[in-house]
Amino acid sequence: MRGFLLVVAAIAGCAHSKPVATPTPVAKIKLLTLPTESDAFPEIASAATTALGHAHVAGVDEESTTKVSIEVVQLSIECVDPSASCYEAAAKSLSANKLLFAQVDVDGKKPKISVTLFDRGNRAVKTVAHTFATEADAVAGVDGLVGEVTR
Amino acid sequence: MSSRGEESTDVVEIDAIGVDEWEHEQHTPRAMDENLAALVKSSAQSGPTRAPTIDDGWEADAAEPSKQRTTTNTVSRPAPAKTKTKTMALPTVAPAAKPVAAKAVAPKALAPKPAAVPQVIARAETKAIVSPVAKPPVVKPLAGDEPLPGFVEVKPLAARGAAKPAAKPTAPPTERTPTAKPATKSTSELKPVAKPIAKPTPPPMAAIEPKPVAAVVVAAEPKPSRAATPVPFSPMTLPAWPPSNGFEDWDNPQSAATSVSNRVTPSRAVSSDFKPEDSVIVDLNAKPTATPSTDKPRRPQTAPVIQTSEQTPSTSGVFVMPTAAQPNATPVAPEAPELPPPPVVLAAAPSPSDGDRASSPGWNTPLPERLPGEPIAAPAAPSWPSAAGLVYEPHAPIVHESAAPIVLRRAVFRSRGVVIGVAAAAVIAIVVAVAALGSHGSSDSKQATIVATSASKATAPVDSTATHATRPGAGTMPAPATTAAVEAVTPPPKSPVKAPVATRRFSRSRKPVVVDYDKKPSSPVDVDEALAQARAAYANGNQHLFAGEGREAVAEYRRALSIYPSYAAGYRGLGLAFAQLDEKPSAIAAFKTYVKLAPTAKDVALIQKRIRNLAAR
Repeated sequence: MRGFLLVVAAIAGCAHSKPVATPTPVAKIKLLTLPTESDAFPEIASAATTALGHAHVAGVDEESTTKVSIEVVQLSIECVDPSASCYEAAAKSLSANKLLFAQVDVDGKKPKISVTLFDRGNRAVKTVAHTFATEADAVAGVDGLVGEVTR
Repeated sequence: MSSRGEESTDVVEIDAIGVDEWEHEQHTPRAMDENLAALVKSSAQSGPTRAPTIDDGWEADAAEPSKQRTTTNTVSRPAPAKTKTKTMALPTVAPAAKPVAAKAVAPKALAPKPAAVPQVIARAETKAIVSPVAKPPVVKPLAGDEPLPGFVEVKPLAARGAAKPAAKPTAPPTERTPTAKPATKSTSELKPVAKPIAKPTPPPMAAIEPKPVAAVVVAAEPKPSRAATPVPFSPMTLPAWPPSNGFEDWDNPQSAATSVSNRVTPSRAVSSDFKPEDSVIVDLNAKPTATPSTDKPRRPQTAPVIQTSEQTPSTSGVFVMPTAAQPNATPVAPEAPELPPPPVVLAAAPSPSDGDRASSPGWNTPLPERLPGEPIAAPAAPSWPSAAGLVYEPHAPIVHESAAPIVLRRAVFRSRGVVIGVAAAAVIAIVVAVAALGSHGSSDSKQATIVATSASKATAPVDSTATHATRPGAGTMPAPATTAAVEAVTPPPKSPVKAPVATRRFSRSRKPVVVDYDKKPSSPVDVDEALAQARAAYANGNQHLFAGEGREAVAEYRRALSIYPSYAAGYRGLGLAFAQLDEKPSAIAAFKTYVKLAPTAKDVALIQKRIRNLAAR
């Protein structure tokens, strides 16, 4: 009888109570838009930054704009590769879930605009690039590129 | 020659004389000056005369004017034989004559010259030099004037060198014309010689150089023959040759004295009763054979005989030292009865009074044979071989050792070995432990060094501040005031013990240049607290930079550099921050410093692009 009681006591003692389910706070999805800079095509850069500021990304709880471009961020975090890992590091440094940025390069003498949306959750990199014949075309066409990325 | 018979052509007149006799008589006749002058005068008037020889002298020549003889000191030898004769003539006729030139001419070419005696010989000194040791035969004047092969002829220069004015005698050559006909018998060898004499022209003696020599020494070296040549007449009786009284002819190769085969030392005289079968043959390769037993009686036994069951009766004195069985010895087979179990110690063996004998089948001591009538000891009981055989005293009490001490000794020895082994292992273990502790201690010390270094990094701002003040673009950097209190406590700065992997050297500071591009999670640099602090400051600067707070960012970057001056990222951050603040010169200077510190960094191209853009603005 005593043994039985001891066994029951041991089982009862070892048995832990079921954890109480507490409501976890839902993380907000923060979209961070980075301004575009270009010394060769400053107008295009300015137009791109404006276009990015007006973009709407689904599933985003917060939207904000940083003071530095993606290039500065990458330089600061010492990860300059256009890769998901570097974008992830940049997003981590900026405390953002999604990054939206545009880059203006020179393809020959024509402006080339690349718009990228990076989702940190799934490490998805969505980039749309287009080379415009002129700077004006680039300015005019940058909205379309941003819309295409965020669509 | 013909007067000597048929054999005279090959016969040599040899007068064997003694040395003393030869020296006494065989001197060169010398003519006095007055006689020589008379001789010359008479020769010139009476025509050719016989040349003086050694024996007859000048007077003899005068006595026999009818015979024309050569002036040669002739030594005739049989043709096959070889004589060694040297003849020298020293005429002093011509004062302008050159010194005597000695030439060895073949006898055949020179000897048959029956030339007439030169009439102009003023003085001819001829001497036959013959080794007296060899007892040369005395040259006897030949009856005829015909020289034989092997003759040695000495010719004055005038005899053949008529064409030479220097050696030419005063007499005109025409005076010698009547004497051209040789009086001697002409042989085939003499004919060609006689002809030139008749002519005033020089004789065709090709072998002689037509030089004005006074005389020609012709040396023919015929080998003298030991064979006794039959001499028709001899003034002396030649001894028997070779002598039979132990004479050894060293020149005769067939002689026993020179024959190699005869040089073998004769063996000792063997006794007459020696028989070949008595010779002892020693065969070193032969295997030892058993010595045949002899019937000689042995010495009487002075010690009792110990007889064992396994061995034949053995001689045993007071001591019996069994020896190991010889390889060729026949082992004694043990007998059939089984042996008792082997005793461990001597004490287990039966007492000597029981007649135990130190013997065993394994011991095979050569035993002497028992003499007839010698008492034989009673056979002993079989016993196991034991150490008792080493020392055995029948009448002396044996000091038995109990089994325990021996076993104890063995155990002691074994334990000693074990102890030694354990001690060695312990020593090795201690050494290993000390080494391990040493390495551990070194790691601790390394850690301590790192800590000290990290602590020293905190003190760096004081020094680095001054350094930064001199750097371009860093003149506006304020020195962090918070670290001033810390540096008084911290030990003096030390350089890091181990260089980090992702570090690069910079000439301005001894600390490694750190570029986080290359850093690794496990890099020792992460351990460096100073570097960590620098990174933390750099991260804060980035946050300020991302937030658009340029001044704060610059401050953080400078703090990072003050903590760790070689942290290149701080200069890059400064450049970005100054660019954000639109301070182009400072931004460019910071970027250039960064490029200088980390020229191989991945972002160098971007930094240089920014430098160009800033400069272009």
